[in-house]
Parts: sequence; structure tokens; C-alpha cells
Amino acid sequence: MNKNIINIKGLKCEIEGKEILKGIDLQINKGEIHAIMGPNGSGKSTLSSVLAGKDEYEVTSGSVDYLGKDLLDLSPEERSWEGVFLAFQYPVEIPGVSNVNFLRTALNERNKYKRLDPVSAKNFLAMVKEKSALVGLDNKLKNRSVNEGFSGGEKKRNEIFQMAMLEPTLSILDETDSGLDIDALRIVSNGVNQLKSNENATLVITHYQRLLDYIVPDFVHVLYDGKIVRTGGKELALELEEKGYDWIKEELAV
Amino acid sequence: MSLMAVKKQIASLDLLDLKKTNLIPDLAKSAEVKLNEIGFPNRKSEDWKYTKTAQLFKKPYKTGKENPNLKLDEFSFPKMKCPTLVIENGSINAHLSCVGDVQGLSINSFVDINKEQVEKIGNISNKKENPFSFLNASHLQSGIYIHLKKKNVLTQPLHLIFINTESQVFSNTRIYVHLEEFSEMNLIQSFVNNNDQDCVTNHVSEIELAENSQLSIEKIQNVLGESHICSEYIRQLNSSVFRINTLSSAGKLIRNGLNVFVEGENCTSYLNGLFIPSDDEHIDNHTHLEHIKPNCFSSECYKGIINDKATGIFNGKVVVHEDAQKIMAYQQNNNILLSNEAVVNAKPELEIYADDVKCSHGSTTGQLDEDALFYLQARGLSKSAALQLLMVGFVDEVLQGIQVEEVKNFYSNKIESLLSSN
Amino acid sequence: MAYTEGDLKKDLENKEYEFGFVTDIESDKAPNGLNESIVRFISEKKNEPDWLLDYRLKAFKIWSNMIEPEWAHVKYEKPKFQDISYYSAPKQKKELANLDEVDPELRKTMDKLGISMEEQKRLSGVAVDFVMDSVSVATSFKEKLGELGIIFCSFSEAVQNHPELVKKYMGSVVPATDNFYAALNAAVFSDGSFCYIPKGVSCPMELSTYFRINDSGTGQFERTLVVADKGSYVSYLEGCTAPQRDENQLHAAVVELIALDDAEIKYSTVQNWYPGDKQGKGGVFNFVTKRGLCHERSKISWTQVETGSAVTWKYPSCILKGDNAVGEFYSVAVTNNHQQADTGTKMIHIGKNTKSTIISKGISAGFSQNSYRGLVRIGKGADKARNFSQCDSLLMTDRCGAHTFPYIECENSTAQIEHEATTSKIGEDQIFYCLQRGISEEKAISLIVNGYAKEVLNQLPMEFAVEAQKLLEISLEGSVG
Ligand SMILES: Nc1ncnc2c1ncn2[C@@H]1O[C@H](COP(=O)(O)OP(=O)(O)OP(=O)(O)O)[C@@H](O)[C@H]1O
Ligand SMILES: [Mg+2]
Repeated sequence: MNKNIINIKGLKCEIEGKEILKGIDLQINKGEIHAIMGPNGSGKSTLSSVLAGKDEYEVTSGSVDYLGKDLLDLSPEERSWEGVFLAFQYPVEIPGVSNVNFLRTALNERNKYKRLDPVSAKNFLAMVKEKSALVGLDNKLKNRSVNEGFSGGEKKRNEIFQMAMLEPTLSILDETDSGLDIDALRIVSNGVNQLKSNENATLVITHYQRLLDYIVPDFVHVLYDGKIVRTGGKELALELEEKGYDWIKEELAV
Repeated sequence: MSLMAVKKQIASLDLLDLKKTNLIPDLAKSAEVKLNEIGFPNRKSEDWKYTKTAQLFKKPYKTGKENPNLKLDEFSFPKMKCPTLVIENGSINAHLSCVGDVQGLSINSFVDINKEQVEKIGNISNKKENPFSFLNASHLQSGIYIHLKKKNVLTQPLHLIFINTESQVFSNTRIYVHLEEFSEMNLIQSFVNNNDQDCVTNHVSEIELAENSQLSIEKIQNVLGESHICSEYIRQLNSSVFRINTLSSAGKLIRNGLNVFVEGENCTSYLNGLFIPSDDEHIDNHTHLEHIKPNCFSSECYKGIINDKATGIFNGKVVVHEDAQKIMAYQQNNNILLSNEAVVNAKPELEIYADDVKCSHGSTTGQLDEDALFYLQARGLSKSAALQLLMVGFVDEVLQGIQVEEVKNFYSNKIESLLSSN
Repeated sequence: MAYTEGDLKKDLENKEYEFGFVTDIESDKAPNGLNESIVRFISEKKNEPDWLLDYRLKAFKIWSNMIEPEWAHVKYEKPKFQDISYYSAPKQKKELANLDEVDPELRKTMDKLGISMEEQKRLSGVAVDFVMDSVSVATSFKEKLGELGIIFCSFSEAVQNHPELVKKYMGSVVPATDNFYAALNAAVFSDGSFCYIPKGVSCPMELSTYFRINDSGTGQFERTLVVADKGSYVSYLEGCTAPQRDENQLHAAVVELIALDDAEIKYSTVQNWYPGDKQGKGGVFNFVTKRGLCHERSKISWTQVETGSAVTWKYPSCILKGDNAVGEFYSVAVTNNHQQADTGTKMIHIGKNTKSTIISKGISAGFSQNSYRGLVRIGKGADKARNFSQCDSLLMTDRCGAHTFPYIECENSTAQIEHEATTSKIGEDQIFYCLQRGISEEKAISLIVNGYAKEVLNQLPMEFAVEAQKLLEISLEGSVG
């Protein structure tokens, strides 16, 4: 049995002729949690967008194998149906479309792809109840328009709620911790931990070591200038927190 | 109003001697033809829906003479020592003008310009069919050609003072401004007078902005009792920046027609205005901005404070042509009515033929914020002081956009005294 | 829950105009052309009293002296008024006792439209006055409404049975002199609906009329008159579909609403006339004059979902005459292919403390042109009048146009007017967000568009809202480039 979920090799991409990812190699196995840290503008969100299939970014070389499929060959919605979930750094507002309506459409579209029956209203509501409790999402928010007028923290909780509803195989959390208060950070992390299994994996992008106290990573990678320049265990995060990125930059310059 | 009737009233005007110039007499002739074709605005002219011009031609007009005792101190900005050109009763007053020698800048009467320059005149203004601009061309009294050479950045603004010193004067004046690549300047156009008098000024400005050039205009209209038809036609090429602040504080009937054709990419245009009519004054601001090329930004902000029996009008139109993608165009108009007999008509329009655009307009009409008023009173301000403060706050956005510091100060003071007298 | 959860795919398989079918009934038809004797013919055919004939003849004179208007933002080939037949009635000799007696052809049409009488009766409790080619053929729920004193019948019946009401109110809001098409309608109107709600009565069900153009070459000139007496309430639905045609068809209706003191009228329309084919050939010309008059403390609320017609010209308006009157206008207008719509509202504030709200959502796709044109006028005496307008436009392709032409005229210093308008493309980041959650592009677009139009759709009665959402989706199919 292959334990590999995603295998990224030599991934390079550019936008408007500017190279942003300059050769990423990353392998994530079932049951693992990986963390990516790195200074602003180093390409973390770009990596997550490329994995989710945003077409603004042009992949110029490299490959991404996802559960035996060529991920780069799939459309964004196919990637979603195959279990790739991206919690956006800046979740998008969709006025007039209620959260539950949105999610039910998403679930049913996936079910259709998987040739499953649509979820019944009853099961759907039960699921909403269970999963929203998991992330402590305010009941009122479920019936409000997707992210519209949500506070920064509410948007992030909503992302994790959606993740819980869609039960992905690979979750990419792009700075889901920023904007969360201390309690929310714990609750959201709890949620992520509870969703963790031996069959799925999580990639967390963060600037703060603190999140990693709650979501304990198996590996920490440092992304700098479009490349992974360091990989280590949890202690690497502690070191970064203490010393910043300068020492890495200096070492690289040498 | 029939064209015949209009012509009868202005039949005795002295016109620019076309024979003395290189000016292709065709300019006047073709304008005449055009004018005969489209006629004067009538009841049904959508563009003149809220401004009736027939009353302007109830009596005959004449050409004024030079007044030897004319003093301009109160209209100039002494601290700046800027080059100044005076147009009195529609003719250039050479004695009072003081242009000096500014690097890269040439200023000429239409009588003294070369053929190439002559041929430019009318090209931009003919893009729109405004009968008054055709009338201006066919009855032109004087014209000034302003030319700034490549890469010259002027530190001092150029000041044009237009003044009528007699009553019953009808002046048709025109300027052509050409900024070459990478040149920059500020232009102040002051339309002023000394006493309440019944004159008509029909002025046209044509402005050509080459690539990467920047022009700011401060246009001051303070012409008690006079009527004023003032039309600007601007052509912007790549990466040029155009700004205009139209500051209208007095005038019996003012109609501003501001037409901007953005024909280049990456251009920026700011069209701002402030109009404060009182008594039975009538101030109409028409703007027409066309985005013809992609990747441009435009922003428009007009504020009106209307008092007594006065009428304020704002009609702003933004057109985004097919394929002019990535346009951001914002338009805002706010009006305050101070009296129960004041009238406001607003018509903010959007006409969009490209899809990847962000355009918006907002228009509000009402009173000053009651809560804010109460808040200030609660902090110990008298009601009138509070009102004045709020009005100053209301117009501040426009005042802050004035580029020439001295004009900003001058005008801020003027507005404050104007508002406190209300 | 919104329709997107239902499986719409099946409904949408047939992408051509869904209701594009022609009913074959022999018509009782006037010869083509318009002159005084045709006007007399119509009036006679309908057995009208003299006062109405006079009214028509006067209107015909007025119309004859009018020039067809030109509008800046619509281009179309002018209808040939002498090539139109101004009267046609389905063959229907005797009064019908029940549905079974209705012509089977007609019944089929109604079934296909989803408005079969039994179903309507059983399921939704909606009284239906079905207009087939200008003459009402079936009316239901009459007894129940009758008990409350509510009159809901065809215009012709009202002329016969309630002449005093018709005479009093007809033309009082939209006079024949109003405009070219209103004059034409006044001269030749075929039939329509009449509704009167007595003092203090709240109509317990939505009153609904379906309009339909049917006979080839027949222009349709409907006339609707709704009078809500003091303190009454009524919600009125109007919807229409039309068969596919090659030649253009003219539709020039007049709708007059009168809300007396403290009354409320809610008037909802789903308009789906045949828009022409993908090349812009054929399609209905829809030139409608709709206006309501509000007396003291009364309220008129217009809601419209416009997806059809080749050319639409229509400004449901409110004259807020009485103090404290309220006017509302909620509109979604979708144009696709080569459709042209010029629509909006007029809010005329005359009374003190009058309030109006305008929410307009335009959606343009294909090569279409979609304009909002509105007027807010605050008269001298309209102290403390308030208006709020929001006009948004959404662009789906780079070959369509979206335009906003609001007129704001204020003569009162205590009034407050706020107008906002935005124009933008459908959000790419929103589509990507949906895609990432596994929602396909087509679904994403319909979700986003429905969300965008939500404020308006929310105003529609339940049954109508579902149909309206369907229409939006169908109208925009395959519209994103
Ligand atoms: N659409 C775009 N157009 C141009 N440049 C872009 C675009 N998107 C990203 N970039 C550039 O790519 C680089 C990487 O951006 P990215 O958002 O991936 O950084 P990040 O590591 O997520 O930073 P942060 O920690 O601030 O979230 C930045 O220099 C950014 O400006
Ligand atoms: Mg980022």
C-alpha cells in the first residue's frame, strides 16, 4: 500500500513572466502534518494556489503526483472532488449566497462526481450541526451569506467548518491562524486534530510557532525566495521564532 | 432659440482677424456650417435639459475696450510671481500681462502661430457637438496657444486671468494647451470681475497631453452677474495625468462642459469641482469622460452647496469603450440644499461596453449630518459655528485636491467667508 | 432552499426557448391595419358602452398625431403599425361551467406552462385569470373572492359588470396622452385584468394573471387596472411566456394601480417574452407603461424579473401623492445574446414624508445592452421625503453593455436622496473559491448571480421566486466567455 498522498517535484511557476516558485520538492504521506514557514512574499500562498489550480499562475516545469494522478492535469473542481481542500488566506465573500446553500451545492456536486446520491436534507442538517460544533461556529453565521461581513476570525473558522464538511484527503491551511483570538486558535486547532486520520494529511502555512503547539507537525519546511531551503522537525519552528529568518538568509548568502 | 436670433444679438462683435493669421479660415467656416446644421439647444436637447440658454440672447452684445485703470491685485497670487496673462473683454491685454521667459514654455496669440499649430485647433473640440463651441470658433475674438516642450517641469504655475470690465460684453476666447512628453505644469484659469455686470463669456480650452505629461488646472469662476459657458476638451495619451479643480463661487449662469478623451493606456484623470450658487444663480457642471484605452484610472468628485433660490446641476457621464478593459472609474457627487427654494438636479451616468471594469457612482442630496451638528453643539459650538464647520468639512475633500498651495489657501479662506455669511 | 440544490440539469437540457410552442386555435380576427373603423370594430365586438368607444376614439386621435419615440439606447426596426391585426379572440362560444369544457388545445398549453387549473387550485391556492390571445378564457376562485367583495375578472367583464369603477379609474393614472404606446393601447386594448379590493379587505391569496401572445401577427394590448380601496391589501402576480416567432411582435400594455389611503399593492412580474434567437432575429417588443398612484399612507411595491423580449422599454413608477406614502421598485433585468433592455422606474414625490426605495440589478451577457433609466423627483412640497437607490450592473462578457442613467431632481431642502451605482465583472475570485469547493463553473455562476439578485428575488412570493430563479439560470446559460 502506497503511503504517499502528494509528491511535488521541481515545481516552478511564474506569474506575468515573473518566476515565483523556483523549484519546490515536497512529499507528504498519509497521516502526516507538514508546516511551511517563510518570510512574506516567499511564495507560500502561491504554492497553495498552484496546488488548488488557480489559472493565473503558469507552471513552467515540475510535476505533482496526487494519489497516483497528475494533479496539474485536473481542473480546480476535480481537485476538490478528489479531496484537495484549500483554506484561503483571504476567504472570498459571496453576497446573497447562504453558507449552507453553498456547502450543500458543493457536497452534491462532489457526490455526483463520485456517483453517490445527493445528501438528504436531514443528513445534511445533522452534519452541519455536528461539524459547526467542532469549530464553534456561531449558528447565525451558517445562514448568512458566504463570508459576507464576517470578522476576520469568523472567516477563518468558516474555512475550517467547510473543511470539516467536505472531509478532504489533503488540507492546505494558508495562515488559518492569523486573525484568530487565543480561544479560537485552540478550538480551530482542536478541530483540525480531530479531523486528522491515518488516511489524510495536512499542510499548514503559518508565521507563528504557537499554532504548532496545538497542531504538532511532523515536518517543518522553510520556504524562502520560491525554494524550500530548510526542513526539520518541530524544533526548527522554535528556532525560527527565536532568531527570525536572517540567519537563514545569511547562511544562504555564504 | 433660433440660430438667426442668436447671431443678430452678436452681430456687432469684433472678431479675430483671420486674414492676419495663418488660421485656415476653414476653421470658422466649418464651425459655421456645423452650427447651422445642429442649431442652438432647444427644449428637447437632452444635454441642455436643465440649463436654458435662450435668455442669454434677449439683448444685443458688444465688444469691450481696454480699461486703462484696471487693477488686478486682488486676483493675482503675488507670492508666486508666476507668469500671468490677462485677457480683458476677450482680448489680450499686453500691458498687464507679464509672461517673462520660462524654459521650454512658449505662449503665443493665435495670430502668431505656425501652420502645424494652426491645424491642431478645433481637432479636439470637434469631437463633441456643442453649439457654443462652434459659435466660439466662428466668432473667435482671441486665442492663446500654450506649448510646453519635452521634459520641462515648471515649478511656477501659469496664470490666465479672464476679466470683463464693461457690461454687455460678449467674449469668445479660446486656448490651446499642448504638453509634450514628460513635461509638467500647473495652469490657473481665473474668470473674475470687479462689479456685478451683465456679460457673456464663451470660452473653449483644448488640451493635448502627450505621453507621460502632467497637467493640473485650477479653474476659478467668480463672475458675479455674468453668464459663462466654459468648455474644456482634453485628449490624454499614454501615462499622462490630468487634474482639474473647477471652483465656481459666483455667476448668474454658469455652464461648464468638461470633456476628457482618454486615448492612452495607464492614464490618470481627476475631475473635481465645487459649486456654491446663491441668490438666483444657476451653476451647471457637465462632465463627459471617455475611456477609450485599457488600464486607466479616473476619479470624479463634485460637491455643491446651494442656497437661496439657486440651482445646482451635476451631470457626469463616464463611457468605457469596448476593449477598454481594467478601467477603474469612480464618480461621486454630493449636494447640500441650504434653502427651501434651492434646487438640485443630478444625473450621474455610466455607459459601459467592456466587462473587466470597476465603475461606480454615488450621488447624495440632503442636509448636513444632524448627529454631527448635535455633537458639535454638545461640545459647546454655537449652531452657526457648527454649521460652518460642517460645511467646511463637506467641501474639504475638493479643497485638498487643489495642487497650487496658494490657490488652496486663497480659496479655503474664500469658502469660509462665503459660508459664514450664509 | 434555493433551486440550485434541486437538480436543474434536467430542466435545462432543452436549451432552446422552453415555452416556444404555438397553440393552434382558430381565431376570430380583425383584418390587419389600424384606422377608426378598426377601433369601432373592436369596441363593437366587445359590446362596449358608448363612453368607452368615445374614450377609444379620442385616444386614437391622440395617437394619430403622435410620433413614435426614439430612445438613445435601444435600436430596433420600428413595428409596422398597419401590418398588425388589432383584435383576435380564441373561438369560444359559450360561458364555461368548468375546466373540462375548455378547449383541449388550450388545456395543453396551460399544462405546459405549469398552470393547470386543478393543480393551481389544489396546490398553491392561487386564483388564475388566464389570458389567451387577448381574451380571458377561464377564471377560478371567483366565489371565494366574491365572498370578500373582491372583484377579479377580465377587463371586458369589468366593463360590463362594473362600469362605474372602470369609468372612474381607467386612465386616471396613465392618461391616453401619456406617451405613444399608452395612446395606442387606449385606442385598441383588447382585454386584460381588473381587480378591486374593497375597503379594509386584505386579499387572502396572490392574484395572478398569465399573459400570452399566440396568434401569428397579433399585437397584444393588455390593460390592467388594480384599485385597492382604503386600508386594503393585495398581492398581484403577472407572468408571461410567448411562442417562438420569426417576425417581431409588439406588446404595449398599460398597467394602472391605485392605492387609496392606507392601502398596499404589491405587484410582481416575471417577464419571459420570446427574446429572439441567438442572432437576435425575431423576439417580442415590450413597450409597457406601468404606473401607480399612492394616496396617504399607502404603499405600492413593484417587483420585476425581466429575462425576455428582444426590446424592453418599461418604467414601473409611483406617484407618491399622499403624505407618508411609500413606493418601492425591485428589479432584476437579464439580457443575453442581442437583447436590449431599457428599464427602471420613476418615483415622483409630492406628499410630505414620502419614501421610496429603488433596487435594480442588471445582468448583461452576450452582445446585449442593458440600461437602467430612473427618475427621482422631489417636489417643492415633499418635506422630509427620502429616497434610496442602488443600481448595480454585472457584466458577463466583453461584448455586452451596461448603462446607468439616473435623473435626480430635488426642489426641497429637507429631502434626502442617496443614489449608488456600481458596474463590475462577475468576480473571478468568487468563481475560483466555488471551484475549489467543488462547485462547477456553470453552477458557480448561477449561485453568484442568484446571490447578487437576492435582494430582489426575496421580494417575490414563494412560487414565483422559484420560477424566477429558473428563468435567470436558463437566460444566462452558456453566457460566460
Ligand atoms: N497575482 C500576482 N501578480 C503579481 N505578483 C504576484 C501575484 N501573486 C503573487 N505575486 C507575488 O509573488 C510573491 C509571492 O507571493 P505569495 O502570496 O505567495 O507570498 P506568501 O509567502 O504567501 O506571503 P505572505 O506571508 O505575506 O502571505 C510575492 O512577491 C507577490 O507579490
Ligand atoms: Mg500568503
